[in-house]
Amino acid sequence: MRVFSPSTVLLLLLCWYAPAVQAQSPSYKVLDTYDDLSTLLNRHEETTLLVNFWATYCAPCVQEIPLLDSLQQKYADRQLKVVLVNLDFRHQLKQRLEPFLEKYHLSSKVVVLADQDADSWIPKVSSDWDGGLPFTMIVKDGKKVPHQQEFNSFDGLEQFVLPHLTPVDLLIAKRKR
Amino acid sequence: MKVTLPSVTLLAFSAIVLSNFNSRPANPTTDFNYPDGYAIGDVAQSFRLKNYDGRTVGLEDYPSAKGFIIVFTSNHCPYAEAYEDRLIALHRKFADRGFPLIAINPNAPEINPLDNMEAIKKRARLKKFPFPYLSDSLQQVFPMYGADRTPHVFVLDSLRHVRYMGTIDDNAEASHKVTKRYVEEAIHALLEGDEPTPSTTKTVGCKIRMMERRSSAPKSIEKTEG
Repeated sequence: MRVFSPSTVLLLLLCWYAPAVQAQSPSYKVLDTYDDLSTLLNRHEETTLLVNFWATYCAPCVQEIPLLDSLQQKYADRQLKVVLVNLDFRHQLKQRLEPFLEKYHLSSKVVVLADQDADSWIPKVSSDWDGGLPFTMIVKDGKKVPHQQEFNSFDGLEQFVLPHLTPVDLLIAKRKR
Repeated sequence: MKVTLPSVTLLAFSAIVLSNFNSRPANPTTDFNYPDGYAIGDVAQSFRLKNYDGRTVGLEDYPSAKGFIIVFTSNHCPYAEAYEDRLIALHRKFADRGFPLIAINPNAPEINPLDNMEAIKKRARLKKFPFPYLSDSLQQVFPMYGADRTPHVFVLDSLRHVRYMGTIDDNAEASHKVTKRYVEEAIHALLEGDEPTPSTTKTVGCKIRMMERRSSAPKSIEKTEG
């Protein structure tokens, strides 16, 4: 006589896992200094990075995050990586950032830049940036293309990014190699 | 009648000046002389704005001031909140030495009710601000200064020349980790008769959002001033 059928075992396993999956808080990494961010941005040589600086207290930032994330989903196979650099205070992450991430389930990479010496690192991000949020830039082959304003439409965002994505034929050629 | 070129030019010029004059509202949204906001050395205009205690306050109310610490701040921005105690400390330290602090809330209550006069009163009383906390709810002062986020500081000297603009110090989140006190150092420099260095710093904070205006008068000024 069999006590447990395979499906019962599966069900039990699922029950055991489910609460663990639900309790898992959304992942983000806290970077202490701008140098940590710089290292992260320089690591992806063949990828097109779309780097967005934002905070939960910035209303236009919060509005454009879903657009940026849709772009990540649409162009993941074109070697696009969206990096959302959050500037909330470290001691407010639990109360501000985490509920936001739980709500949106983002595909994009989220990092928190906790470096408070903004006057020193803003010019290093881009000489075109005055520190206003949101700020977005493309990082590709060591070059940066800044965008000072928020994106109001997916089309506008796509037009900004598309010219900087790796061409499809090049991707196919690489994959065949 | 022969019309000479100089007379045409003069006519055109006076037409521009007159149209400018006519279309200029009683309270311009930008300083007539500095349409893009102030740079270091520019002469800042005074203002009269309503304080949380019902009085109206302007720079003329401080005849013996050697300068001012003008801070555009707000009620709900985490950065503004993080600096409230430091604003109080700055005022306590420098008001007696001739540099009083004046806080101005530049946000339109129509955009966020947390910036209305009631909320300003509540915040000022809760924190026991020893300085005026004024409402620029019609958004006529912050564009003159060129403030674009909260908090944003402008240090003026006795002649109201802008001598420092930017952030308060180099650690918004943790005051005990501050290593560079930009505003304090700027005032010390002015008290010594020196140039503040740096005179401008970049700042992260909450963007001041401008209400869209129905009137086209300020726009026509911008066009003619080009």
